[in-house]
Amino acid sequence: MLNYREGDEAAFEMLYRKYEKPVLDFIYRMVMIADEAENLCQETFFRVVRARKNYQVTATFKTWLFQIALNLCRDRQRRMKHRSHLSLSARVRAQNDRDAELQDVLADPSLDLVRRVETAELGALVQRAVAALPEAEHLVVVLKEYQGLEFSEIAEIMDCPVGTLKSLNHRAHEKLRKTLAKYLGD
Amino acid sequence: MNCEEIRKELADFVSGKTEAAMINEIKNHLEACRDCSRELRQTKRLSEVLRSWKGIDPSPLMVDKLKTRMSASGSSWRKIFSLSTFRKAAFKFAEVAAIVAVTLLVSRQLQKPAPKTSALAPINFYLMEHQEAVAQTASAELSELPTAHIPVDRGDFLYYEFIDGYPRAARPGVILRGRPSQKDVKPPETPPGSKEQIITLEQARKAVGFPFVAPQRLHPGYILDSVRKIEDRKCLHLLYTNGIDTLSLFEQPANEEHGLGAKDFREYAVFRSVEPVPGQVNGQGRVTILAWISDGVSLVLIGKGDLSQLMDIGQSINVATGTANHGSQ
Repeated sequence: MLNYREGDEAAFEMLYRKYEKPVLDFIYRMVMIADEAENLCQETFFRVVRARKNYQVTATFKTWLFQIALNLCRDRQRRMKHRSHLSLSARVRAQNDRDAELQDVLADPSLDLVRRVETAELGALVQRAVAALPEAEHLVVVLKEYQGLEFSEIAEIMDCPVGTLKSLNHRAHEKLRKTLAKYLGD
Repeated sequence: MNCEEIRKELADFVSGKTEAAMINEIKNHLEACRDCSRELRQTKRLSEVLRSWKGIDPSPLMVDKLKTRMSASGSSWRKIFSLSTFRKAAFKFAEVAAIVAVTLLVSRQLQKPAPKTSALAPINFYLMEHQEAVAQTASAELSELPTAHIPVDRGDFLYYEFIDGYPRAARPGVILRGRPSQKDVKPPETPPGSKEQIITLEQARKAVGFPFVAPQRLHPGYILDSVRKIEDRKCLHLLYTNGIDTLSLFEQPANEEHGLGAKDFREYAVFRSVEPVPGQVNGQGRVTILAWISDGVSLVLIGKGDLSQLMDIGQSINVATGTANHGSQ
């Protein structure tokens, strides 16, 4: 990012290529709607471009980028609270996304048919279980489990002590274990 | 550490991110504590189960949109996207889509009023994704590919269609489907901008009965010139002008007989005309046409600006849709 700030356009290309997928994936797991996630992901990188000249090294670029994405997700959540008619529409679209996701899994030739069906069903259940968590727990699970971030990085993004995050994560795991008990065995 | 503390560390332990100093303590605890050992197994299993929720891959159009926004905002981005990337995206597009059908309303307000004798305007339409798919298959240069060339009456509806089941087709297919009744787009009795043509945004909203939107951003110098409803149709035409060139926005419900259908395309469909053919056209310059659907409304934006400018305006219309800023100017 420092290179980009200094005028190296190729540096932005590298950043974009490296973080496009993780940022999109993160946003998708927060908003649960694919096209909304793409819009917010695009906005995230556009804000990086706009902030280029004023960029200061206060955190790693990765955590800064995820902070931008998270703020956009939260802004969207706030807007949606006041727009029930869009929420209804979003549910339909979310369903379409889920259907598409199921279709993707079903089409994966690397899994046998029975496994494919099970995976597809389970994926939808997991999505619902994660979505049902309170926002902070949802966020920690997404950043930890799906983005593979360290608690110290999550602490920067959420501006929250590591100890609190570990408690949130533990609490979220307990809830998920209950919701998904029949798939965990033991 | 007690059991509670150990359990909070299990997520890191499972992912191999535990601090070296704590590893032995956790291992020793797990060997001695059956409950925590069971919790460890469940944590591992939970991680596996959570992975059955798959993420999504970026669509090829996402990067295009960003690039367009960056251009519009004056930010440069070097030529990042190789042709092969586009080709890959094009093939993906071609494989997935079964039929792409785009209805374009080309109104006489596309350009400055012209004499009736020059009613035909040749416009070469092409769908970039399709062309690239063809180019890859044929190992041909894009520039060698012919574009579809159709003489279009300025009052016509134009249907562009190709069947994607055969991406190896040598050229895009273009079909003009039954001309609409001329009364739909009959020439106005008075020139654009006269009082008889103009209705207010409020009147327009009542006339069409759907929540239309107006762009929040326009090219510098452009103002709203007129709003009119296409006769016998729930279609609204907003005409903007800078005194020399015009910018037209057509809006109608996507489920109307003549409108775009939800399945017609995935995102934006972009068309560009070529330069006018000398001797055939009077006043027809390079025109960019942008067609898309937003919140159930089919939108077609036609203007002489470059693609990034139109995309920027289109984006502002989508923003207006998203904020329910219907009918605002």
